Amino acid sequence: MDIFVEPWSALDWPDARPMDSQSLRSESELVAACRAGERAAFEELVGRYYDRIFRLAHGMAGPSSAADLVQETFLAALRSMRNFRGESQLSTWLISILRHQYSIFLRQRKRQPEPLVGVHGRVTVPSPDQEGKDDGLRRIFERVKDLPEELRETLLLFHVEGLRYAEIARVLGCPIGTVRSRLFEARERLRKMCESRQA
Amino acid sequence: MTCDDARPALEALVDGELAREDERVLRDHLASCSACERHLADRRAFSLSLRSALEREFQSVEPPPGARERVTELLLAASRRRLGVPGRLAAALVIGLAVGLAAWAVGLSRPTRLQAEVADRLRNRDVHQEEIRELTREIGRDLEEALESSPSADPLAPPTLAIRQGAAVIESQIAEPAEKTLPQLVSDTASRNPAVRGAARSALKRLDPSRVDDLRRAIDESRGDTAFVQQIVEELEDRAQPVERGKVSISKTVNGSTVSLSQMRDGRVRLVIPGRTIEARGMADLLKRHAEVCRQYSVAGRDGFVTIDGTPAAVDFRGQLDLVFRTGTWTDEVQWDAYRAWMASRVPDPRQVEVRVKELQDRCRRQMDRPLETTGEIRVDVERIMKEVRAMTHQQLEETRIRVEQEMKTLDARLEELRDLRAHARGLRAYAEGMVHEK
Repeated sequence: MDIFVEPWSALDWPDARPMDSQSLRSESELVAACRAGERAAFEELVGRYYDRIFRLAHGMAGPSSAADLVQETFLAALRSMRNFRGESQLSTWLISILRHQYSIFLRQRKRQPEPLVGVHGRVTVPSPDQEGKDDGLRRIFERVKDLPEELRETLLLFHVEGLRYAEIARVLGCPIGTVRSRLFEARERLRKMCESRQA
Repeated sequence: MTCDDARPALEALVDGELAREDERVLRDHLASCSACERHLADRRAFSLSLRSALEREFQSVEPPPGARERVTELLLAASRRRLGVPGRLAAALVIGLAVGLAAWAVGLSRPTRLQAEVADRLRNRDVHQEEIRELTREIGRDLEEALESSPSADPLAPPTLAIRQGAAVIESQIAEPAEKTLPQLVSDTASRNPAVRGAARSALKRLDPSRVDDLRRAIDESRGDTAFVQQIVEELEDRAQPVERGKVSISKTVNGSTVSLSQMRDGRVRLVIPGRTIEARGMADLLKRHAEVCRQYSVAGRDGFVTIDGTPAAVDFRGQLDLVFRTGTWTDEVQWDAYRAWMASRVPDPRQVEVRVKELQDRCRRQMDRPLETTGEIRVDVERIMKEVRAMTHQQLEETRIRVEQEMKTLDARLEELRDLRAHARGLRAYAEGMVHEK
């Protein structure tokens, strides 16, 4: 029996579109150009990372606050660019900043996150024969929203961002073992939620 | 491998995160265990469904129209404000050029190309150096203003500590690398001039642990900020023994006994009292589980800070007692948590607290983003440079050109760093002054 399973991060993820030939400068070159205030560098930075960060912000804070959160994230990144040492990938670094901004956001708003998909989220209409399967997926997704913050965040970083355990640990500032146990816990809870609903 | 060992590893296998050796062992087990194999199939199926569910939802998420462009423009605007070339620099270049041309005009001969190039580089270097001095002075003024605007009569109030902490961090970074003797550095730690004080503190913090005995001797020879220098001595001792390395530690003599409290980098706290060492998971844990010992040695915690015999050792800004004080760790988050805590004691409505936090944050940000001042001129003695250059041989000119080119790289980096620090110093001043207005 073939039990090889590809890691998610290696799978064909919608975000993994090829970069255009002009945007081949390295991350440190890009950061240096941003620090020098080059317009083209900012365009490249936003072009490369906006959508990823937006999607994650959308998952964390809900649709109506996602754009503001991403804006704050990029501005905070500009302010602390001199601290970017290239020890982690630029995307991971931006995600860490997003997380920090999100914690500020949570403190300021002191309320539950909004539904994950709302007015700004375009939901594709499924074909009739897809509906049965999609209902099941939809149910799983609905349950993701009910997970505690730390589990949901870890799950999103793994499945939506495609980060490896080690990268998630760096972003969250916790040991890899914690990432592993949170993912396990998140999936267990989801599985139980889905099972109890089916029952 | 038993089934109990295998089950937790299945998840990692599905995620592609199992180490090769562990994977081999697991596969051996799976080959002979149909229950675990079924378990694996379940996990794979569920993970795939989960991934599909998330993919399906997040694929359809689109940013609002124009959001990317807006962020690009905001970044560009913020960057311009931060990097804005000060008017006085431009003025200095123009003055320098005019004076220089006049000097050449009345000179005996036209300069060679190399002479002109070297003169130009020297002039730019002098302008940079002058601007660095000016920026350092301005940062010093902002920090002094911030420190004087103490928001609370209580020196242990979180915002007061946050301001002191922030100022200490900025001070240590405005410092030029010092080439002074240890007794001089010790004495400078108590200097009234923030730049001198910062330079000394920064140099002492970078000291090699092997020089800890020299530093102890220097303390005997010279008087400075004793508490700070003692802290450095302890840090150097800690660094010399990596296992014991603490994030921060404080020692005090209480009723004739030495009490030492330190926090490791992982948050564990160690209290050393005569004949006994107590470890706890954190400050809160220590105070709870060893209340009697803490009382006996005057280790106390109240309203968000920890004291040993009245000396502040830790500040609780984040709901957990954390030794922030004098750690050199200072972030915006610490500052705003401190303000939030302070405001919460004055304004009962939590929503109002957040409104106030937001207001002050906006005010600080406006100050930080303000372009650099354009008042004042930087005067560079171009005639002196011309004279200097004319006196150089060809080889000296070549050497100077290369040397100054290297110096300029350092100065450029330093200038950028100082502009950034100045923004922070301004933000800190606005933070402190904002609280004075609140009073």
